[in-house]
Amino acid sequence: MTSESSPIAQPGAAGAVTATEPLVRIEGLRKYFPIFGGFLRHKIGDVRAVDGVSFDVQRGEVLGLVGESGCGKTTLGRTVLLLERPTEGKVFLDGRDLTALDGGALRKMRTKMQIIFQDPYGSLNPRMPVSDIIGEGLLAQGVRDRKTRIKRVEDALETVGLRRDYTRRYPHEFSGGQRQRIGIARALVLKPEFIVCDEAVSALDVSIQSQILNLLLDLRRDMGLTYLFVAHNLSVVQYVSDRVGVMYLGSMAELAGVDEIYAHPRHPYTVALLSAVPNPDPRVRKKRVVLEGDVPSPANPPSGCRFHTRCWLRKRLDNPENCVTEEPQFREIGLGHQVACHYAEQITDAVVSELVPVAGPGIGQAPGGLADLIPPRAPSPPPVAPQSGSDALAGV
Amino acid sequence: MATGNVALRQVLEEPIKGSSLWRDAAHRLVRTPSAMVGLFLISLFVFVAVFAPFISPYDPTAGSIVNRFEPPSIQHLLGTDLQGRDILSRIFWGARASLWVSILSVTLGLLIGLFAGAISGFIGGWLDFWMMRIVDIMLSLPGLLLTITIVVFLGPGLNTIAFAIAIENVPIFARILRSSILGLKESDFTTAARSIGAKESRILINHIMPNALTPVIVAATLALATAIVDAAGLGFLGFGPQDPSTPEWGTMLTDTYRYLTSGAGFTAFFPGIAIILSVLGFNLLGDGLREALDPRLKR
Ligand SMILES: Nc1ncnc2c1ncn2[C@@H]1O[C@H](COP(=O)(O)OP(=O)(O)OP(=O)(O)O)[C@@H](O)[C@H]1O
Ligand code: SF4
Ligand SMILES: [Mg+2]
Repeated sequence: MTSESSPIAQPGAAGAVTATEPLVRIEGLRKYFPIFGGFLRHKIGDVRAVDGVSFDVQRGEVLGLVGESGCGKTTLGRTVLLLERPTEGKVFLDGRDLTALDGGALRKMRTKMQIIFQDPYGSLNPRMPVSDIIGEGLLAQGVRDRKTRIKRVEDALETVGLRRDYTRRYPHEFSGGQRQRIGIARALVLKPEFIVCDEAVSALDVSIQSQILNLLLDLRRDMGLTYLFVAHNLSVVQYVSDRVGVMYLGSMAELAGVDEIYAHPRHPYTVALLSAVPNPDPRVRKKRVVLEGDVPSPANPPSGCRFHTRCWLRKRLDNPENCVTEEPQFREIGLGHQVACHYAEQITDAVVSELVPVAGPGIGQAPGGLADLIPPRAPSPPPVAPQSGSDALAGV
Repeated sequence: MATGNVALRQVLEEPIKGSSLWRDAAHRLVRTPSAMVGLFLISLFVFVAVFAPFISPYDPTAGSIVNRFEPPSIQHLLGTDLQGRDILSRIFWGARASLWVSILSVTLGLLIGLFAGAISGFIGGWLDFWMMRIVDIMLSLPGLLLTITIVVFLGPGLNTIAFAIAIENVPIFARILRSSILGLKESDFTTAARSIGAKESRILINHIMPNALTPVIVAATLALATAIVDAAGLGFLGFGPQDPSTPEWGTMLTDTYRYLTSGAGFTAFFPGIAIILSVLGFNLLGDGLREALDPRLKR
């Protein structure tokens, strides 16, 4: 991918991309949405959807992102792609600060970064044929010749496992899984380097999920892609990710390599999430950590550590003062293992194995929900395209 | 991966058949019997209105008192009214008035309403806020009261009736367009278009407008029906054409309702049927369009 130098790249500093330089670097990213209220609708506050997040994404890696609903995963993904203007912070892609680009330059950079959506229905314009849906990006990036466009659209269709001659069809003629493939083709046709997958499989049937996941992984291998993979399903994230970040209420709680974080979680929130994964072996009874109470409002996050209102570790430690008064640093506690908790060291493997059903180093081989997610051999193959005729293509 | 490959092969073996959503919608519409009945009634209505001068057996304004209240017969298929005029001919000519009022009011309502809804939806903020408060106020007034007030101010006649009904339609169209624009602005496919570097103008023309207009098309069809009823109502109340010999369905009811019980029921019955059938036509078509144009519904 280094051969694809950006059209505006300067020689020298930016051109000499070293192997260790991350593809994407996010620094202190914040995205606040104003809240309006009162009779005359004036601004009365902010939803702090993303509240100070920093991390790198290395070339060719899949960085998983998990967290409860509403913790800001989608907003983070969109802000990283500058689909939402950050309130604060910087996003570097290939060493270039995207937040400093004007409209035209940003539009050029968009070929390098793409997004795949959760909802295969809402993400395709129902009034556009597949050729236009996928080809629009080429047109926007200056591929004027119609023949070239169609050829590249057909190539993209083939890449995602659809027929080349689907170009004249409309989204409503496809099943959910096929639509998701079209959405992937739309992202791929511009030959991006970085793709944000926002719950890209969450809306699909379990059997279709595994197909799409495998497609995404194949594409990464073949095209050298880098993913920011957002999902709330821990097993899916474990299956696809190289590293995993855990978000809580707009900020990063923990970030580590996938095996490390599933086997040796060090943030009480991560432990609670893993503890909630159903145990595949019903005979093993573990004490569950139950997350008490609701997620606090992102408009008014708790003081100090934002997890302190629900933290089981804080309770165990007899409610230390600094959890409420002092915001924990996002600090490195092991090689490539970062965590935002004052007392992360208190969580030992012994504590983890007491609370997490399938903890330990073996988790990678015996993942909780993944067994039913990816059946070794399905008794009947998933009907991606069951009947013929346009009307019969109804939802799979 | 085994399952993946099987699935992949299945995907690859599927037959092709391209069809646009509009064409699909037309197919769906054709297969909806009620919509087809609606379309038939509307065609009949438009045909009668356009060709009234050629198909009317009599001059709709000529008649003699001597022949008043003749029941339906071979000479006068639907009988004669209180001035001895041929009711069938008057219904044919009355269709012209109804068609004129409905088309004029909906066109005018669309022009103003779509403009208001579009700037409200696109510009948003303060302008949107006040525009929508005005819309709220207009929608909270009882419809007929508003139209009557306008007609009283502007004087009776078909054109003022059309204008008054248009004003009644404006907030409806504005609100529908605005809310679909707001939804579409946030939709994933416009975000996707932005993400592939499409310009805002292109997003507007290709993604937002075509989708935002579908609900408006349905609402406009239904508004044609309402316009016919409202026009007839205003005609009945005496705000119709001031030349009493000009045929108008609502006015035809006024002329004769006092004689309903004295054996001349047909003089009100037939214009009533004309109103009902034309209104029914637009309503049936509107409902059919609503379903046919919805890409999520498929059979
Ligand atoms: N456009 C917006 N305007 C105002 N608030 C918003 C907007 N988008 C998101 N939010 C708020 O920001 C917070 C984070 O939302 P976001 O969609 O990013 O969460 P998420 O982690 O993706 O959740 P989910 O798992 O449900 O998709 C939520 O409280 C949400 O209400
Ligand atoms: S800092 Fe305190 S409240 Fe926050 S996670 Fe750690 S122990 Fe819990
Ligand atoms: Mg989300």
